Amino acid sequence: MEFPSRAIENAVNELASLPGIGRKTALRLALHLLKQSEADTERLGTSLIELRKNIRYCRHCGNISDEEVCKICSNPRRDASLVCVVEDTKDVIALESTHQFQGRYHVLGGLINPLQGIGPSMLNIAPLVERVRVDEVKEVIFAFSANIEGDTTAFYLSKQLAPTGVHISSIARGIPVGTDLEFTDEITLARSLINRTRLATPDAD
Amino acid sequence: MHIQDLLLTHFRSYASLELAFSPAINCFTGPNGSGKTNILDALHMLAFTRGFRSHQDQQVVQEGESFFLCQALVIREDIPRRVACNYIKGKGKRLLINQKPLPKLSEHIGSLPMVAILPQDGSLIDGPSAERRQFLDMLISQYDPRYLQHLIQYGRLLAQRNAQLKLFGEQRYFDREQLQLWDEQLIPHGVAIQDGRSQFLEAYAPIFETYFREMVSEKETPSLRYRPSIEAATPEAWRAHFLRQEEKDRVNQYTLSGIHRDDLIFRIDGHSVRNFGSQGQQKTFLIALKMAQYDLLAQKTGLAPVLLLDDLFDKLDPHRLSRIAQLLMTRIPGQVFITDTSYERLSEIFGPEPAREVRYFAVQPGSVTPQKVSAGD
Ligand SMILES: [Zn+2]
Repeated sequence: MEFPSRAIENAVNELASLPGIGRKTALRLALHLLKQSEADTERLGTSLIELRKNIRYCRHCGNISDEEVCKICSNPRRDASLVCVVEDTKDVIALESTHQFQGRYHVLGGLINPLQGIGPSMLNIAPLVERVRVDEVKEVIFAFSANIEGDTTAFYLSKQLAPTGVHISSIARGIPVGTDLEFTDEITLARSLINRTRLATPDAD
Repeated sequence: MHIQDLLLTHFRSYASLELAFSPAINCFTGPNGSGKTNILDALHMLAFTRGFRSHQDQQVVQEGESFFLCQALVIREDIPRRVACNYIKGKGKRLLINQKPLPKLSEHIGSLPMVAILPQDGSLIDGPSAERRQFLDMLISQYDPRYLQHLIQYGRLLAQRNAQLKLFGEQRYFDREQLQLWDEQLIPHGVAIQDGRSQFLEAYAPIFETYFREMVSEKETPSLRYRPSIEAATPEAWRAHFLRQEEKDRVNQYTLSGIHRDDLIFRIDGHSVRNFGSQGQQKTFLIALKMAQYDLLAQKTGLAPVLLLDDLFDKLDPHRLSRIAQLLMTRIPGQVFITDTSYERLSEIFGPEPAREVRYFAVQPGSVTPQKVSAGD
């Protein structure tokens, strides 16, 4: 790509380094910003700088936060005895948008993945064990992606947490809503069978 | 099931070709480089949506042209269907059934069952063990989709275990618990695969042996044995083995045992076919392995698969040759396609009055001429 200006070229290079953005999209974004008012662009710039400068990680759960303790951990209505362990912040956002979970979170900052050079010591695991030991945590729920890295991390964590005697569970893995059974892969189907749920019957009391 | 005709346009050495086949045995003879194998390559393309000579469709297009057409009338359970595999440079390849394109090429695989015995398959006998594992995995996966899933999961877990060993090496520390994290997940898949392989061989080896014995005159005793890397297909045996091998794995930064180190051992009268077998013995072994594959495919599909034999008869003694011809005429229910350099050799082994119809074609660069037909009984 040939650029008429060095300033455009720099902006395109920076934008294209973001995930999911190619050089063509980067150029479109840069040209779009030029058409906006200067104040708009400045607001965008400032927000990015603030993101970097002011963001902190919650002392309890490791989630991204404005304060030392995040909104969820500091909310007295959230059940502190229930902790959902996730890979990163985007999982917290996904789970929060379901409005189904009243407990608190613990963000690991990744999954065990030697191929990417990530071992357990690089993850936010020790604080989790400490939290379970010290706080009044009754149940820990693993909510990881259904792949071998997720399974391995769950396996490792359950070993680490075993001495605490805490109740450990994992989110159910099954057939996506709106999917025909015949199009479901065999592993998912097998897992759904093993983790089947009992339906209430009229005879049951 | 059989292929009634074949139409090629700009396909390898053929600008345009139209052939009508015998539903029984078809022989293509001509000198090396005349284009015999290209006909089998076209048939392979129709069954597997790709040729065996090259993985790049561009190379199949005749020089200076921009597309190829490859089509055939396939009769399956008395229903004729026109199968076409066409390619246009820059646009890609499409598979059409009765002129209707299939959304996915992979949907077609298996609907025209076929077994090919090619010169390069010799590596199954004398090549690295990976070739034999791949052959075994391909066969078992056709019958057991769970087996394929185990293989995929095992491969992923093994890659992580190896990466972990490498990390330990680079960071100069070791933590058994971290390694066993992978072992515990890897082992169930490994055990299932090992079990699948040994069970499959229990069914497969006797079929193989029967075919082998039918092809040899003297009392040669073949043996086809599975040699797993780990003594027993149990989690306990795997765990103990991994523990014993731990030091070696650490030094090599690689997992030295598991189903990725299994092999098949081929022997005749107790001697390794790979090291001591004559060329004739090696070829006979290969043909018997493939015939057994043919048998299983026929059982599974309930159809008579098509059999391709490419340039296989050279350097086989007349006795073996006539036995193979007998086998093709009496034991193989499906359509057969053979290429060979010598018309005399083929017409001699099938004889003037073969048990099945044999149609001969003379191949010259760019053209194929139908010759005589020896009617079957
Ligand atoms: Zn928090």
